[in-house]
Amino acid sequence: MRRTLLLLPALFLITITIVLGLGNQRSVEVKETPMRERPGFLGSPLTTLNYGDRIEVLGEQQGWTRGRFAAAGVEGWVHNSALTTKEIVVNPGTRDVERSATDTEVALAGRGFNEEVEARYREEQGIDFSAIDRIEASGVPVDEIAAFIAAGELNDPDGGEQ
Amino acid sequence: MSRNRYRDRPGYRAVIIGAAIAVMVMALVLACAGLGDVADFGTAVASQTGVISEQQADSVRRSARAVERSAEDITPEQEYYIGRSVGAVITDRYELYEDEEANRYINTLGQTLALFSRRPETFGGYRFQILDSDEINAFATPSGIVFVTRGLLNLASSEDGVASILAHEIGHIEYQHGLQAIRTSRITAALTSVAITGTQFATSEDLAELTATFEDSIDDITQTLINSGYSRSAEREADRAAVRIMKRAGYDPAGLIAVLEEMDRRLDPRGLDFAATHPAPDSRISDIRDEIDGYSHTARATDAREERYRAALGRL
Repeated sequence: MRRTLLLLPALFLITITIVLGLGNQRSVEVKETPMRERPGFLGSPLTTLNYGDRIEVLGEQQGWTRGRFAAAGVEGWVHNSALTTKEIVVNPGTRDVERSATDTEVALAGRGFNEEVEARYREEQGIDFSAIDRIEASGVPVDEIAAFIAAGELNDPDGGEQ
Repeated sequence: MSRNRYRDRPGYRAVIIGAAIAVMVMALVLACAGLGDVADFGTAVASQTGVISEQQADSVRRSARAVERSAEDITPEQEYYIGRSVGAVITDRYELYEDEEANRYINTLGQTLALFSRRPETFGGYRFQILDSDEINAFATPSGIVFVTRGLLNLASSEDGVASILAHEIGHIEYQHGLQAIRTSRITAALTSVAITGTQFATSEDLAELTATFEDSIDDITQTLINSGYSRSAEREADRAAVRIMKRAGYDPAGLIAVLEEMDRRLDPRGLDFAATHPAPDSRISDIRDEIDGYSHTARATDAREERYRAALGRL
């Protein structure tokens, strides 16, 4: 009897963990990021997540979060540097604005220093942004990075802490 | 024996099951109470858009001030817009080095190194661009665009050396040193303004006011990058990050020392470039030696690295 009773606190903790786990969400805080089949940069992408997308956390491993993206019904891995525990409200209403003023766990997408402010700044300063736009478009595809790593006999970025 | 006595009692199983259910219900209630905020999120998202009243604005202003605001509260999205404009100021002052092969090499090397950093993903990603200048200089803008001059790249004589330069700049982005150059008063002003005009700019004055704060923030960063430089501790942090990134990637961290030794030989102490904005190379070298002490690098595939380094940057 005593031993059985000892199991009750364990049951209590397990239930709490499961229920809280269900509500454990992360938001994508970068423009876009791939959700991958395995925890690694060179892994194949299952789908692309966009800024503000919410995923339900299923697990974590060495800097990566395994999550479920309900909107597309996909489960996969996303790097932690692309995620935040904050809620990012993509089309904020008045109540969201009020919430974000007092709650640092709420962020408003597209507000504050944004495209509109940049356009105004650009106009006032008379600075040309075309070079920046061109540089920004110069992302290197992941297969080229993988080939560069292989040819230079560099370490596997997905091989864990070195 | 005594255990059996309990088990034999009628109703024992019912008591245990009852207790288990009670415990689970208790846990459920407690856990759901913690989820209250999450439930609120859903209803709040559905609320109407519009500009808030003056009275609401006042209350928001008060509460926003009550919340501590710092560089960490700048969202990656806003960091990205700050970085773009800092970058635009730099491309306005410096000529870009227009050699596709050289830039492609730097960009591929830099984006590879970023994967080994503590912050592999930023809002818009990492980009690396060579500036057509003999000056010994580099600028890491918030969120990931990195500029390096021909003059600085020429201090390196191998891919490992170039990697050390780029890894140091990635370190500045990782630690958000650029954002930390913005005066706290501006961050508070900007984030309070976001709080008030969050749904849309009420008037063109609101936009003008926020743009003025934006301009001041860009000035804070470009002044630091171009004229005053980061603090000595920020540079040490970036050097340590460079060593860590290089070790993880499989580059020889001593490449950074080789570059700094060359810099020490060539830097004009009265110069307006790295001489003005960075601690003296020799003082950085001794710190880095401590950092890589005990690390034995196994040189691999130096031929392949050497070959592509020469092919891409040989004309620099």
